[in-house]
Amino acid sequence: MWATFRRCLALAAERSVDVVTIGGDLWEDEHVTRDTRASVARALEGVNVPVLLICGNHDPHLAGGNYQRTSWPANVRLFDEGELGEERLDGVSIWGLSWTGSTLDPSFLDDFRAPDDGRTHLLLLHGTATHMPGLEADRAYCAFAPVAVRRAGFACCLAGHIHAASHRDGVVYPGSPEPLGWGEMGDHTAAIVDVTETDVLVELVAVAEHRYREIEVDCDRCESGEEMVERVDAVLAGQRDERTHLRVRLVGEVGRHCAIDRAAIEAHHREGLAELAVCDDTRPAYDLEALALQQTATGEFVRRLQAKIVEATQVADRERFEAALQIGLRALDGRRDLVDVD
Amino acid sequence: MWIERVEIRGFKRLSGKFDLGEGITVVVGPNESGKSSLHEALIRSLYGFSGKDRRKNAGASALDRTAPWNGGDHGVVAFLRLGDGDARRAAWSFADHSLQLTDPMTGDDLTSTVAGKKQDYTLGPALLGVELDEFRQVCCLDQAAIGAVERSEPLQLLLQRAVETGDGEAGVDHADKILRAFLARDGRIAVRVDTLNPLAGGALDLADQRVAELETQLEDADRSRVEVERLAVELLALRDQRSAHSSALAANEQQLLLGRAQRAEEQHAAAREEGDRANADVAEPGISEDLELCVQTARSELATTRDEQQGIEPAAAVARERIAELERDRLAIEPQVTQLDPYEHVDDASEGRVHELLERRIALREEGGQQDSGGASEPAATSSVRRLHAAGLAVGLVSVGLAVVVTPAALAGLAVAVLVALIAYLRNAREAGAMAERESRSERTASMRAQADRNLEEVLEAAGASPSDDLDIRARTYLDACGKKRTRAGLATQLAKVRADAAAADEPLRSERQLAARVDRLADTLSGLYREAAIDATSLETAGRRFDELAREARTARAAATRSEAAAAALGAALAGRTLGELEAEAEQARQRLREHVEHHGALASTPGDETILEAAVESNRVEIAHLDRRSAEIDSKIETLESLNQSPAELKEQLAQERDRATRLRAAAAAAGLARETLEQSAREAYRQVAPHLKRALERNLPRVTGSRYAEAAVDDQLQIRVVPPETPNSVDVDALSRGTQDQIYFLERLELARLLDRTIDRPPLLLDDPFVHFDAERRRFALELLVEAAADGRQVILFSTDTRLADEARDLCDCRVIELSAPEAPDRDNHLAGALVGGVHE
Repeated sequence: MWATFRRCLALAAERSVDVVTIGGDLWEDEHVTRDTRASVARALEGVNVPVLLICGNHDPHLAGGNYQRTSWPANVRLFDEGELGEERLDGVSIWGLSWTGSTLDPSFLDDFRAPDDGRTHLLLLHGTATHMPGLEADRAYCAFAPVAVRRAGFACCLAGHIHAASHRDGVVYPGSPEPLGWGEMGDHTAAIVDVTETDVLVELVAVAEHRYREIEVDCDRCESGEEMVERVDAVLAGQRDERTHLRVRLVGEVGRHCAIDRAAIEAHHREGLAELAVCDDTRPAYDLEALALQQTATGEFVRRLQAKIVEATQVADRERFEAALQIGLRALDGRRDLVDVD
Repeated sequence: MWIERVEIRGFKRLSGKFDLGEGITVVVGPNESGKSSLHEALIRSLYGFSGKDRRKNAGASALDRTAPWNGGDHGVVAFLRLGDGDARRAAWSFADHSLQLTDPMTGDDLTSTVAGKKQDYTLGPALLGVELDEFRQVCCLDQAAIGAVERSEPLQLLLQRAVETGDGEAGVDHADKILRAFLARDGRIAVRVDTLNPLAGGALDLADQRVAELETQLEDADRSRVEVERLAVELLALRDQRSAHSSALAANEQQLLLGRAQRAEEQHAAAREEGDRANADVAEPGISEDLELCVQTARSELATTRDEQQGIEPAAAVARERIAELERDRLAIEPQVTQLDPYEHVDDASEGRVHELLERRIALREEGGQQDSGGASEPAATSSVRRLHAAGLAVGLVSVGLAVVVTPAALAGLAVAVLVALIAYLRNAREAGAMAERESRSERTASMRAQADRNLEEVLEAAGASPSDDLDIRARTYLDACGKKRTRAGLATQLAKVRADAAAADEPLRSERQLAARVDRLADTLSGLYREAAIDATSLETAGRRFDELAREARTARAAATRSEAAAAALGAALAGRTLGELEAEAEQARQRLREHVEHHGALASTPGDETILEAAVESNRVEIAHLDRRSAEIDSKIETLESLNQSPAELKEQLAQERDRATRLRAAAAAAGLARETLEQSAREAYRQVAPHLKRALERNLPRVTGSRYAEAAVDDQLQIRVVPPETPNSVDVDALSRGTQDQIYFLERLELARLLDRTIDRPPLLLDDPFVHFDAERRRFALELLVEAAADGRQVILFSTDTRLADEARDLCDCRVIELSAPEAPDRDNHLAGALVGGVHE
């Protein structure tokens, strides 16, 4: 993280930028230590250009909070209020506001109009642009419409919150400089914004050191653990990279007696990767229809649980019935690897 | 499992080697050919003889009854092929009841794997999964003992296990053991298997504990975090306060420095000025302050006295008038008093007594005079009568007069006149009677008068009354003197009052005189004082003006002298042992400090303030700043401690999420495993309940074939008792009520189906059927054979024993079967013959 942070600041120096903006969630407030605060302040002091900073939902500006407890250098301007503040730099005005609690109301965009003073007005905001696909869950985090940004007179919105980089409809998300987990498989950049007399040009420069990837390995009809290892091996060829965090998802219906040892697979394939995690989403290849026809306890067992699965109205119940079915069948098979609880 | 070969060393009368087929083997031979012995030998080759079988009963045991008739070796050797393809060689020596079980491929001795208690062996149960009795019940049809399958407890368990289990499964029991192991303390979850509640110290319990522990840690961390934020706010407030105090301190310091610089400068200037003043010439005053004070005092007293003098003048004028008036009164009263002075000392104590006695005396004298005259009183009476007569006459006359005028009135007057005359008459008469009385009283009166005179004389004498021959005169003179004495006393009192009033009225005049005297005295004093100042005091006013001029000059001179002295003192104080030059250097130093302060803090003060107040304020600022610094350091230290001790809430949350997830997974797995157990148990029960229906279905499937379609419907109760429904009646009837042939057919089907059921859990046992179709007609026997062929096709070994050689032929028609033909024994030397015939006497 620190290396990437320093790399971002070095990029700013390399490109001779006039100002550095940070669009919130500079840190996870709960992770911050005294050393974090001092180190960040020191690093930003070394930038030697103004640094404009807003607070996000993960690091809101709170009384007694980390932002207040940080001795910011003179070149750092912290927009520490939930209302727009302006910072002027030559012909550019950068407006920013911070999260000061658990919410930030985007309705300020409805009322605000940037002055028609010949300056270029940019908005520094931490929130979710409503045009972002697949982020419905993030709508609670200051959801704003790009059109509202333009209507308010901003030439561009320098946005934070979404961890994947994008530039669309006048909203720039550089993303988090580093991905934080397998859920962040997009690009992670620093945005170089060039404000010309007629336009705002954006260049997204990749800065992440690590990347997260997920692949699926089809284990259909695997009859043994050894065969499964071979299949994973085949898929991982060419994926090995010391900066890659890889999650392998085993899928498909495997033979009833195929033993899956995740730890062994991870140990076997770990080399050459930053991290390897194996998820077992396979299912034993039980012919449930055939089993249900048996006039045996097994047949009765399958029929009973299938009926419960069909009748289940709650997902949790259905999952429990399905798990019971799998566990019971494995036990009837004499297997002791009933379910992976680790 | 199937029996490939059996070598009979000696069993009853039978010996020899018999190779058996994997499918159907038909052993045919006439009666006494040894079919039943072979049937029994095959059974014993799997199970041997139990302790019960070995015990003698009524002289012989079951074992004894199978001993070789020729007294040879009592035993068999069976070559067995297991379901998984392995082979076993079981060599029984029944005489000493020993078994040697070996793997013919490897030569391994496996006997110990089947060694039971009390020299028993568990070969049959180990290979087939059923005990001997159940094997006989289900897999063996003994011609002599054919009947319904008796439902023993072991058979029930076998059937239960069979119906519970599907193909290739470990069975519900085993599955349940796996699930219990999974749930139990040493398993993955560690919960109570019945309630699924976590077991202390188990995986789920530890996960729950870890969750609780992490929750507590997270709460602590959050509390610490809140505390840190609170302290940080307090710290910021303290810093703000410190900043304010620092600003105030700077302002106060600067104001103080400004004041000190100005004061130093002023001191320097003042010192110089005072020096000049101290060195200035001072004139000698002509009038001393004491003299001036005396003059002022004298003037003041004089003026005051004159004011008093003027104030008393009206009262003095009034007093003078009053005194003149009182003098006139005195002059009028004083001669009268002098004139009465002779009576001043008259003893008037007896005045009252004298007066009383004198009155007494006069009264007695008058009384005596009346008595002495007697007649004197009569005339008086007469006179009185006459006055009455006269009155009567007057009334009469008036009445006459009036009668002239008014007759009635005259008449009244005449009546009155008559009445008056009558009264006078009566009075005269009474007077004459009293005359004598009067004379007597006159004498007593004279005596009393003489006594009174004596008393009077004595009193007068005692009072010193002037002597006189006439007692009355003396007495009256005395009384007169007493009266004059009283008059004089009154006048003397009056005179004294006049004199007192005059003295009182003289008071203002005395004050007036005293004030006049004081004015004179003060004027003299003042004159003397003026003269002391060498001023001519002829005229006090002129002298006063001159004195005032001289006094002013003297005061000016004294003030100049005082100022000079003060200047000298001030200079001394200002210098305080320093020189003027040093004082100037100090002033410059103060200015320099001020300049430096302004350079450092900016201009904060334009006017100096009260130095004492400012010094107190500066001290207060410094104390407060020191206090704030201490407090800030404490809070900073607390924050540092809390931050260093506090675990990262985010990390704790991650750990907590992981642990919660693990606990949830464990709990979900426990719930699923518990549900699986419960469902399996229910399913097993339900499946077992299906044994009878299952058997019923199987019977009904084949019953028409083996009964020539006479019976199609069957009923099987939970005890596996079979009933069938004959076509003549809708009611079912017990199988025992049917013909022997039909019974055999039904029991044959029952065994076949039960054996098929047991195949699920045991290694498919062979069927050893001793003349099962003896009561079957040809058609039904063929159907039965077909069923056995189907069973053989499913991998079951079927060994049929029969006397009827046609059965072998029919079997050959239906399948590729093995046939063993046994010969009947010969009569006299049959043993030898049989032995020779049977050794290797097997026909296929």
